[in-house]
Amino acid sequence: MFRYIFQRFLMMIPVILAVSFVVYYLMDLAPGDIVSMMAPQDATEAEIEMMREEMGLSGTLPERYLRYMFNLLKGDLGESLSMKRPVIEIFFERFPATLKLAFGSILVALLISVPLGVAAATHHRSWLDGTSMVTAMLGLSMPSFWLGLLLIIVFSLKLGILPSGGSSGFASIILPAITLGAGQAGNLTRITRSSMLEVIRQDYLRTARAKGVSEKAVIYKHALKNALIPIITIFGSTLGNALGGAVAIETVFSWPGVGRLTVTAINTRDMTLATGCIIMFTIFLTFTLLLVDIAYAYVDPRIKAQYSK
Amino acid sequence: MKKTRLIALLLCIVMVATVFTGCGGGNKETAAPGSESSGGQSSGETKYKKEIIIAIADEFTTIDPTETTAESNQIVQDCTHDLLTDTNLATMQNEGELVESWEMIAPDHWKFKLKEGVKFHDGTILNVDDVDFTFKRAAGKSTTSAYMAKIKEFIKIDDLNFEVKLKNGDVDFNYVFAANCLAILSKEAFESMPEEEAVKIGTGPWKFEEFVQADYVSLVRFEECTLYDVPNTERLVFRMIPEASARMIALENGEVDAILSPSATDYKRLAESDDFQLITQTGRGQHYVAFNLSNKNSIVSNPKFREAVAYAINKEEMVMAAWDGYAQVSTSIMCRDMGYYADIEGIGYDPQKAQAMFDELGAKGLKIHLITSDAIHRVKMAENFQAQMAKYGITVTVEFMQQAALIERLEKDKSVEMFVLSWTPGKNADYMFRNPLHSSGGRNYAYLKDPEIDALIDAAAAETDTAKRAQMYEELQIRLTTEIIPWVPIAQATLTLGAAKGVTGLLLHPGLVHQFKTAEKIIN
Repeated sequence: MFRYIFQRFLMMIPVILAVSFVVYYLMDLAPGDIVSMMAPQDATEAEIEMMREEMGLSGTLPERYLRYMFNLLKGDLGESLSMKRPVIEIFFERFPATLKLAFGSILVALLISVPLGVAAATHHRSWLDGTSMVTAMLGLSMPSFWLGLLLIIVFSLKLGILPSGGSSGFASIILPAITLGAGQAGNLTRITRSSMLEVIRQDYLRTARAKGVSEKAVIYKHALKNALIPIITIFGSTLGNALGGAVAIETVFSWPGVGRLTVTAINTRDMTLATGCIIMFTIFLTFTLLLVDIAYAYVDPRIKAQYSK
Repeated sequence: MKKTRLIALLLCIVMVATVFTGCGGGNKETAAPGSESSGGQSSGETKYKKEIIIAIADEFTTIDPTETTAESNQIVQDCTHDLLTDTNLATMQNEGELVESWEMIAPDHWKFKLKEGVKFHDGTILNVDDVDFTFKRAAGKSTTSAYMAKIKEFIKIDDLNFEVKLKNGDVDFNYVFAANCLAILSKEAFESMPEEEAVKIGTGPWKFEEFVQADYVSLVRFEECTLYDVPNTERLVFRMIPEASARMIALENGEVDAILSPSATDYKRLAESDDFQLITQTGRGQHYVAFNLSNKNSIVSNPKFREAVAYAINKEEMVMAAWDGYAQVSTSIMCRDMGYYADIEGIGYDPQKAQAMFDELGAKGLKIHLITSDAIHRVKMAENFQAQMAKYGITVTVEFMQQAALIERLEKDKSVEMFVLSWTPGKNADYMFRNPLHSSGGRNYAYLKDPEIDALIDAAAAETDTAKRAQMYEELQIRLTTEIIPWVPIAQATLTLGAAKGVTGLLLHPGLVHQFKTAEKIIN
């Protein structure tokens, strides 16, 4: 098992190297540069060139990339060109908000999808199954940007019970978490349903029923436990989606997360900040996927046995 | 299965704990904006709302004035820090803010006298050493080094008087000190506290209180302010809400008291509402349709064609399309509110004359390529221009891109034919012409290289006789607007701000650094 974890750690190195190169190269390829955008409107050509020099943007792409990677090896992601502060500091100021929103949305997604998926599977091909699937499809297909504005209009403007944005207090996370969670709930409902459908046909459940175990206990104590295993597996990718998909939600709800920060950095061509944020995201996601794999091995003895070989 | 349950339980605990921990404590929530908006502050008979919250679109990122040129930062810094000179929004003149008076001994030798007894937030009194310290610090910053490079020598006369000798003569040097990134900092603060704390110390009527990244920045009034009257409002909060519709909802909800840059679709609703007000001010930004004069392969290098285009554009129609009428049509290349603006006639809309000129040039069936950014008003300007030109049988193909990409294209792509852009000169008349229209200008995207125009710009900048100077600027305006025509000036857009009824002290600045020093609302 430890060997496996060590191997996974080693695999992270080429992933981070590849991501850093691709992001750095693409950012360089993108037209426009931050100096022209940041320079005062009345700056002369010579003054703009002087700014470029002072911001460390002179030199060829390989030179700059190697300089960047050398600093990265020392744990230094550089300084944001627009904010003039260390990228790592800015990232960790904003990351808790994104993480909070991501976990909040997963919580919402689980609260919706598990009961809905179970109900759909246990009432297979009934109106309840159909309704659950239509609800899941709605959640999946509704643009989060539009749903967010709709929720703001209803709960903030019309009913006045929840704030329209910001991150002050528990109430402010409810609408963004629901908006982001709705899409994930659609996906999770479908997975829970299919996973449950597979499990409820198993022999051990028939045996449990034959032994006189109540239907409720059969479903919730025996079937659901096993059906949840695939859900743990997709936890990592769902978290990834939640982090990545949070950009639009963070904008609509003025949520101070990393998604908004990264988009702003890309738009303003703040190369160090954009690259730093994406590299940090990559590291975080790789770790999350590793943790999920380890957790999966613990809950599924077959996987654990595989690792032991 | 016990393990499954355990892991499921642990995951749930982690998620719930993350959500609740983040939301429950920490300094982010201790002073949440909006939490104290009820209640009032008594000042004699009048009661004022304790807290005014203003929603801004772009992110505030730093309180350090020397580190930024972004308006979203400068709007907040304008409340906490002061400049040596600044634009008086009532008179639109450059006046002393921290300086009492100034004198131009020679174009390259200036004398300034500071106001006496101006108190910093740390209790120290402003003196020449603070100015000297600020300038020395600014010389090492990329944002401000260009300004400081103009100065050859800084001479301290006494605690309140100083002289500046310049490398080159500049009869408008007082305007340099109106650059927001040259706000004066306290030398003593930098000696007694860490830099990140010292940069917060200014002389403005508001003191920095708290900053939560991408969420809000809050200020509290400076009770011992000597430069301005102490504000009637206790707390001023700037909330960052990027979405225009979300800002409008926050205003309608009462979560904020004012919103910057409301959506054009909400103008009418704000203006006609009993609960809200629409505050407007003509912006200094000159929006124009321009030609790349260096592209000799294109008809745009022919001044007759440019003149015909100027006659062909119905500016009123374009203003309706791009700003729903909220803009003032331009007749001159120069911006209306600037010193030395001459109210010239320019080239008016004359479709018959335009058609005749196009016919003479054989322009029917011509194809022209125009580029611009994806900002909504520019998209509409470009589309309207396309439609207007189609009436004369000219096909305009339009390409939209991000602002950063547009600037790079204008800098590097010599095959550009036409573009839609704007120019917001911050300070004096020289800035109106030098950078976008002088052959050495850093933003001369029309690639106008005219020695006569260069000489006229240089001569006007050096002229000390105001009457002669006015004449020179008038000549520049006439020649550029009606003869050379590198741009067809379209309009100066109206700046807008939505606010709850009764909120006052919200001053829109044509140069976009709006002033909220006296924002308040009487509640009785």
